[in-house]
This record gives sequence, C-alpha cells and structure tokens, in this order.
Amino acid sequence: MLHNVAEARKVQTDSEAVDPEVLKGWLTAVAVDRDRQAFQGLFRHFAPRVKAYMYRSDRNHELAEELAQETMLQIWRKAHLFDSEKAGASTWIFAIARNLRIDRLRRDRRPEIDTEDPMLVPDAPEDGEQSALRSEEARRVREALKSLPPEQAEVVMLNFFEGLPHTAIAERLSVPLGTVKSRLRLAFGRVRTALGDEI
Amino acid sequence: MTVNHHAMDETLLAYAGGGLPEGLSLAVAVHLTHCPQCRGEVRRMESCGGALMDGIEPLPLDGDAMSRVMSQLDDDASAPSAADAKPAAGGVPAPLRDYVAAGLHDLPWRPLVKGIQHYPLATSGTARGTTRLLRIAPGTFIPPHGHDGSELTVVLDGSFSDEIGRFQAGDLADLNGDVTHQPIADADGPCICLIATDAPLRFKGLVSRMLQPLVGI
Repeated sequence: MLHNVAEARKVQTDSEAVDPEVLKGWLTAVAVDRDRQAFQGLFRHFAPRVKAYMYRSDRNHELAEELAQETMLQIWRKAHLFDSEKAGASTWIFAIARNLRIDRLRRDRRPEIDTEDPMLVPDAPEDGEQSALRSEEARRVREALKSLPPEQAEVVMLNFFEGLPHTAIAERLSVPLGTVKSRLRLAFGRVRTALGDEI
Repeated sequence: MTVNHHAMDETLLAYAGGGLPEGLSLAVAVHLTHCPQCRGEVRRMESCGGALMDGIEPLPLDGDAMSRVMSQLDDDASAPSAADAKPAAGGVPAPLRDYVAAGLHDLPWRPLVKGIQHYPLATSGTARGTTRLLRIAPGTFIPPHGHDGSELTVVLDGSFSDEIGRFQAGDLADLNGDVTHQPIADADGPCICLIATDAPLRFKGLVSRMLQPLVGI
C-alpha cells in the first residue's frame, strides 16, 4: 500500500510539469470532441489536486475523494461552457471545485452570472495585446504569488484554499479584520502589476 | 448603462475564494452581470486560485477512482437543454432568478415602514445577516445606520443617492463597518435594490433604534 502511494505521488510529481497550454488543449478536446483520452489526462493532473483542495477545508479523506470524483464528472459535463479565450484550464476547474465545495460542505447556493443572461452587459472586445497576454497569464500569476511576503501568502492561501470568510481568517491569525483585508489587497495588487494591468 | 460604483478588491477576493456568504455573493453576482470590469477582476482572482491549486501537494485518489468516473461518462448530460434556460422575468438578472418567482414589479411586496416595502430572500440559514429586496418610494430616506459587518447594496431598478454619490441599476454600494450612511431614493421613481448583510445593522438615534426590531435589517 505504502509502495502504491509512493508510486502515485511520483506520477503526480511528474505531471506537475504539464504545460498550461496542454491542459487547455485537453479541456478543449473534451468540450469539442468528447475525447476520453484527453479527459484521462485532465484526470491525472487535476483529480489529486482537487482532492487536496477539498481535503483542506474538511480534513475528511472520504469526502475529499468523493468531491474530487464529482468535480471530474462535472468537468466532463460542463466542458461545453469552457471558454478558452477567457480562462486557462486551471482557473476554470478551480471555479468548478470551489462551487461544488460551497454547495456540498457549506450547503449554500453559489450565485453566479449566466453568460446567456440577456441582461448581461457584454465584455468589451479584446485587442491583440490582451489576448497575447492571456497565454502568459498563468505563468505571470504563478510568479507573482511566489514572490509574496509570507504574511500575504498566508492570507491568500486561507482565502483561496480554505475558502474562509475574512472574519474567520482574522480570528485564525489573531489579527484585526482590517489587516486581513489590507494584506489581501496588497497581494492582489502584486498580481495585477505582474499582469501589467492599469485598472 | 455604465456602472459607476464597484465592489472593493477584498469583496471580490472573498467571492472568488468562496468564503463570501451566500447573500453577499448574490449581490456581487448581480453587480457582475452589469459590470465587465469587475468580471475581469474576478477572472484574474480565480486564476490565482487556479495557480495555487496547480501548486498544491497532490493527494492520490483511490486506485479505481478514474475507472469509476470514466464509467459514468456515458450518461452524458452535457448538452444544454431547454429546461436549463430559465425564463427571463421582468428586470431579474440570472443570479437572482433562483430566489424570486416573478418580475420585480409583480412580487408580493410587504410593507416595512412608511415608504419602504420589502421582500425577504431565502438564503442559507448559516449566515447571521439577512438578504432582502427593498422597494423604496421616491424621496424616501432610509434611517442612518452603521454596520457591524459588511453590507452590500446593489440597485436593480431606479436609483438612490447617499453621501458617496448616485447609485443606478448595477451599481454596488460596498460598505464595511466604518461607514454610516443615509441613502435616499431619487425622486424620479421607486428604487428597487437588493441589500445583503453578514451582521445586523446598527441604527443611530432613538427613533431609528426603536424601528430596528421592526425592521430587522
């Protein structure tokens, strides 16, 4: 058993090198061609990460396993909603996993926009520079997150991995709520700068 | 219509991370329907979530997990069906359609105080705050109040003004505990807005405080 776990970890470590463009290609192949082999590629890369993500909030292996499998099923079923112009595969899959976690662990509904909503004010068309930047985005975001000072990295992790409300983060770290918010703002400011965005 | 009042970064970060309570998330999602700029911000924040998930220490699944999931791929529910498309009731943006059964002007509004009607929304019972629609007659003041937690107000129809400015359809007033404000519905028609809190409001002044148990917002 131990041997198997070690093997599995080795496989997963290897798959960390998967290029974001390859992941996007797999997800597109699932969406367009219902490509099962591409889905297996996605499964090998994402399922163990989604399981680790689910495990963070509940510390329950069985539930994390179940939610990871359910997330993968949803990826297959919702693939037609994936817009490769707007997001990378990791971004889209993170959002699916997050919504499932809210739904199942917190038993809340997750209000989301509907891209088919007639009331939706459409995005402005992108210029060439912006779409070129998109393919760079994943790398730049990763670099920016790596460069965060520890106290900012900590609140970012609690915000995204544990999905904690900011009041709960403040309690956990014994810092004022305003400190949590300002650390998050500073951290995201770095990401924004890394993306060269002037908002 | 261009949106002029936006969500604060920390509010969007909480929404993107999944930690924002349901009612506040609903207000954000309504704002996002109107606001391409904040949608772009949420996408960038979700890409942070994606990058972090890519870098997480993976947890191996059960040995037969992949074959179990693969065996379920056949019952393919991927095609968007007509049943999924919810009818667009008058003036109700998609995120709100799960919560209201009719168009904004056909809801069974209930009187709250003079000039203000409300329609409570059923959000999850885990939150301490409340979520409701308010229909405010032209020129009506809402008693001045502060907040122990967060309050998000998004305008659905008409407009109101307060010390910060004028809020029209899609505009979001993102207020934290430090702010006390006194909104007044503009004179040109009733203002319908969604107001969500994660903690009870604190009304200032004796008369307003007497209102509080009645108002319950």
